[in-house]
Amino acid sequence: MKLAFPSKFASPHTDLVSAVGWNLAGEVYSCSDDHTIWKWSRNGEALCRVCTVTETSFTDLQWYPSISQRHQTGSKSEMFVVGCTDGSFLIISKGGSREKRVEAHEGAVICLRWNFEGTALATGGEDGIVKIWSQSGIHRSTLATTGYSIYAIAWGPDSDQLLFTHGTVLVIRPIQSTSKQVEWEGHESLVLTLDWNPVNNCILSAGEDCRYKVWDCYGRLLYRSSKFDYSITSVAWCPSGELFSVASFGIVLLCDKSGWVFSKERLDTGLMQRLAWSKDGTQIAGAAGNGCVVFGQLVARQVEWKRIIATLEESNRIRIQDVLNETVEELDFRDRIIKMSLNANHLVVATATQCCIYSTSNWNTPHIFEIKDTIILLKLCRRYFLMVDAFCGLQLFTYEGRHLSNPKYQGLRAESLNDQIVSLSDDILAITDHSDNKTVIFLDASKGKQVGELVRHTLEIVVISLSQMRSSTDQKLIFIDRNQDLYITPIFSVALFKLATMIDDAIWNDSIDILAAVSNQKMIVLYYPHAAYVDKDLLKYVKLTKECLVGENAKFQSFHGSRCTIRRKDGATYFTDISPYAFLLFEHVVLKQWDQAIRLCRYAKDNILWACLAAMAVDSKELNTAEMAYAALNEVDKVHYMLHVKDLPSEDARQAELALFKRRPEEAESILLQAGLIYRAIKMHTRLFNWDRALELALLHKQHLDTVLWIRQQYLKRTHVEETKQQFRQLNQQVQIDLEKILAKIDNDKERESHCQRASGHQTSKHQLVHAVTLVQGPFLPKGVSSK
Amino acid sequence: MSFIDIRKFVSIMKVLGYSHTISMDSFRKPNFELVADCLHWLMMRYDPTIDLDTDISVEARRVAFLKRATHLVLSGPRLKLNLRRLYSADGYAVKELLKVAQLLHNATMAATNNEKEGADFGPSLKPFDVKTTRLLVSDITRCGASLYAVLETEPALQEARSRATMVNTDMDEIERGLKEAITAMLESISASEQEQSSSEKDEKAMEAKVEKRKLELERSEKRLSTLHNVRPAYMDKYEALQKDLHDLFVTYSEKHRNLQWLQSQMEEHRLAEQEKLEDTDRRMRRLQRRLHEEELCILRGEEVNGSMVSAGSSEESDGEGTTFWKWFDGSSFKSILDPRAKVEARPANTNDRMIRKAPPEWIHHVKRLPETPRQVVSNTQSREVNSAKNRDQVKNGDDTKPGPPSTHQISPNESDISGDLEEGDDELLDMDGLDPKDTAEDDSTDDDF
Repeated sequence: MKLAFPSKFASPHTDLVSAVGWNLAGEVYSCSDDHTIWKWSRNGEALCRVCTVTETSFTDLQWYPSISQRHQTGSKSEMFVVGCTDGSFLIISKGGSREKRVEAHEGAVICLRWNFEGTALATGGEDGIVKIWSQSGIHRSTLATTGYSIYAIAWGPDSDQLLFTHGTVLVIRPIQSTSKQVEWEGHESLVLTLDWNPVNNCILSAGEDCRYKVWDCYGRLLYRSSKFDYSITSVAWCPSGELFSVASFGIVLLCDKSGWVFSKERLDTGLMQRLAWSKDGTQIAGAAGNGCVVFGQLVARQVEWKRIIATLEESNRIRIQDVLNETVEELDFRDRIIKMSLNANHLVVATATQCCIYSTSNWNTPHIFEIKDTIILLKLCRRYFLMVDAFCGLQLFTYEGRHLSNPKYQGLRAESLNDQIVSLSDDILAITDHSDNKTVIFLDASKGKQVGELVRHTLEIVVISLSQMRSSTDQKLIFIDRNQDLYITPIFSVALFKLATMIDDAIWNDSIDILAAVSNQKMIVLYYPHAAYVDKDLLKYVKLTKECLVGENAKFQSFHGSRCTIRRKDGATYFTDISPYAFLLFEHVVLKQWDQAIRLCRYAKDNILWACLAAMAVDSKELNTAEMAYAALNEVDKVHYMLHVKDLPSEDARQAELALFKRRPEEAESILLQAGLIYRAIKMHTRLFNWDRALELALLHKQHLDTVLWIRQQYLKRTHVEETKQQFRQLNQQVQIDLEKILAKIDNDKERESHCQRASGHQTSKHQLVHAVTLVQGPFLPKGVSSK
Repeated sequence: MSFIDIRKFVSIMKVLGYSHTISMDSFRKPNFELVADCLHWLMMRYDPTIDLDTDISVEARRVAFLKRATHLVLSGPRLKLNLRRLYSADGYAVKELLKVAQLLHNATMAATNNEKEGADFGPSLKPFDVKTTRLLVSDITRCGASLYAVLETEPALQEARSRATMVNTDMDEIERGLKEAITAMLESISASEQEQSSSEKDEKAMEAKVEKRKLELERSEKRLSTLHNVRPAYMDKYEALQKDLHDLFVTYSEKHRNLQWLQSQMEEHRLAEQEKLEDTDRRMRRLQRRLHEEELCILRGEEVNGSMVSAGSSEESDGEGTTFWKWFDGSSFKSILDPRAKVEARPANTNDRMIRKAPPEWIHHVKRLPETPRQVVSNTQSREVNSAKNRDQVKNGDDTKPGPPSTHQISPNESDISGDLEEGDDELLDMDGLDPKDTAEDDSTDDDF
């Protein structure tokens, strides 16, 4: 990726250009020390002089922020402010007429910024004061008074915080004085420029120590650049938060959001005073010290998927390269390409007015439909793709270009969504919204309605991802929170489980449920993370830790098949592979070919596979397989338990025992009670030392009261402890305990259960036989079936 | 007001190539060292030969340094710097320094621009040629002369002019006329503008149309190319069949050729056979005639030998006839008739043809065979053939025999031929070798060859 600048610049300005600003229509306004403001077209042609202010010079220029062209309300939004050296700022309309002049500071106004809603304007001046103004220029508050000139300010994502700098210090001050401010020493010498991106919530700063740094919103350092030749005068985030650019004397850098440099352009323009990205993030304008305004176009953007590479060659041309066939296709578009995305056999290209959907097998006939507004986010999954713009919000389309749904929820703010906090699977769309980033919302893809319950977490969620395997019943969500802990939860019955800590990034495999995560210097592959909900002890087996030199803050790029691509902090791409056996195993299990699966595990002799198989077998109640897998893992206790479960006479009892095995006693109890196996339920609770519940059940069903009391007594006798529970003490006096009667009752119950089972088993055996016949070739017959 | 100055100063100093970074906050507090350094650097940049003492350790020296510097600036580029402000070394000092820096910056900018543009007009200045100068000089004189002439007419014109101004003109009429003219002009202008705009619109429409057509063309070409690329389902089968057909045709043509050749061979052979047959026929007839004559002679009781000789010498005396005759004694001459009868009996028989096709080398080979085995063969054969011969005789009947068949003696020749008919190829060779002619030649004297 790089910025393409024209080789020559012509400018009507005769002196240093101090600032530039884009409006929504894609026009650039530039103000200069020669007292003029000029309007430029997107292509870098000076269109006309907007106005001339003779009495003062300009320091900064900002357009009133309007999110969408369609949201514009009257002429109010068609204005911009300029800061002046005489301590005032001017509100100027689009046409160039001066609407208002406000005296703001002593000395010059150095910087000014609108908040994201456009309801407030912050200014910083040479006198070291930061002030907040209303939209119409009425003074609201003085936020800070420092002894130094305020060279840069930036609003926080929700417009409730303001970042400013004085000297070498960066300060985040909340607008409401109740909360605490964050302050830290950012650079070795004067900080000249700042930016804060609302989408990825990261802060950029640079100054006279010739470095730029990336911080998160709590002031933690994410990246520190090497030293440049000269002080850095401007930094600017791309609106999407994926990129930023940095300007110094004669150079403009394009960097990834994690800090490393994509490209470096040398320009003969003197000291670059200010950079500004266009609203759609495809172009950049720079105010140069020699009076030029430079226009850069973002080109050579590349997306890869399996064997296809799509490269943005010019603003309206894409080059498709098939690496295997060595074929090259050129796609030309009518207007500028704003977003493109390649995944799941399709390339979706969003231009300024159209959306084109190409299949990777046919580049000639795309599906095309018109789009209404600038696309903010484009995300593809197997069945459909998501398109986000500020006007329509979220929209789902199929690859035939048919509109699928328009998911909505309360408090949706489309412009703050990014790739990491939106996740798609075949049926479900998961979103962490900016306004409440501790919860995850699930939306149905085809209806657009909210489904399931919200996932509520105690900390801010940074990354979310949905598992991609086709069955939607046991679909899982993973997320990473602010503390870099990795959690997993099922979608439909939320139960958080912490899988790992200190995780930089995590990704699901694109076809099966394998989870990969990077933590410092290590890659962790969880072959069957669902094991957390089947048998937690298996997690240690299914986890594979690979040493790899990815360093800190590495991010995943893709995980197709067994190939995993990681982008290191310094921008290098790191490829790594995982064992392909797991894929085969999953395939067998999906097809219920258990004996093939066992054979595969035997062949591979890998505990990871055995553990996966054990977890999957337990999950699908395949006891014999589970027994074998546990035996292979040397988990003797588990094997015994499986044998015990197999010996149980009734199906319900087996179910309950398995639920107990999965650490869900409530579920087990409800199964037993539903089946009328009261004694088993009571027995289960006594086994779990859950005396109160056992007694409660006994009282409720008026059965086995004496049994409970007797077992309790036995237990106390063994442990040599006095009875302390009040209820038991009382009942001990009331109830007569007769051991023989109890034993008879238990035998009776057991007899009844096995009898019931035989009766019902008789009916089912026929069905099971048929079932067994259909399975003839591959899978083995469970022993239970043949004996019945 | 110092922010913008500092910003500009920083920018200009960087462009001029000042090696240190000047901080935006440099002059927040008085910073005389930096001011002195900048000033010294700027002076050096202005004129490297300047002698300027940079010692600023004490107050007096500082003042002296500034005095000297301001003096130099005043004497050189005629800039007046405020010494007091410089000495205060704060934001105002920057303003003073900026004056010098701006001067140098403008100069460097102009120089670089000149360098760039110099390339443009440099060559045009170079050829200062006499021709154009002379032309210009003559132009000047001519202009002077015409000016003089025009000025000379001035008094007369003045009179006319004054007269014209004296005349009272109707301003309204003139105004009206002018207005009319103006409106007409405006109308024509608007009409032409309209025309222009409409034509422009047309042009745009046409261009759009052309573009659209081009796109369409491109698309359909693309589609055409994809269609070209598509291979019909039956193609594989078709190609296989085509290949088969080709193979079949090759075999067919080969066979046809062979057949043709064989037929031609057959035809040739048949002709040769015919000729031979006729030849033998003729010879036989001659022989018959002679024999008849001899017989007559004998019957008449004349001397046989004499007539024989005379007959042999009289009739072109081909060696065959004579030797043949020698070989056979007169008693058995009748048997000679038999082969002819045989030949005549089976002209269509293919075996017969095959027999005659045998190449002459073989004949020679056979000729050289030792005497004894042949005789053995011929003896054994003669026995066999005897019966075969009888069979033949029975079959053919007597009608084929021109001569009297009453007495039947089996000759070796005859036995061979018939033997061949019954047996395989070996006998065939033998038979050939025992052809009446050849055997005659074998046994006769060598001079026949």
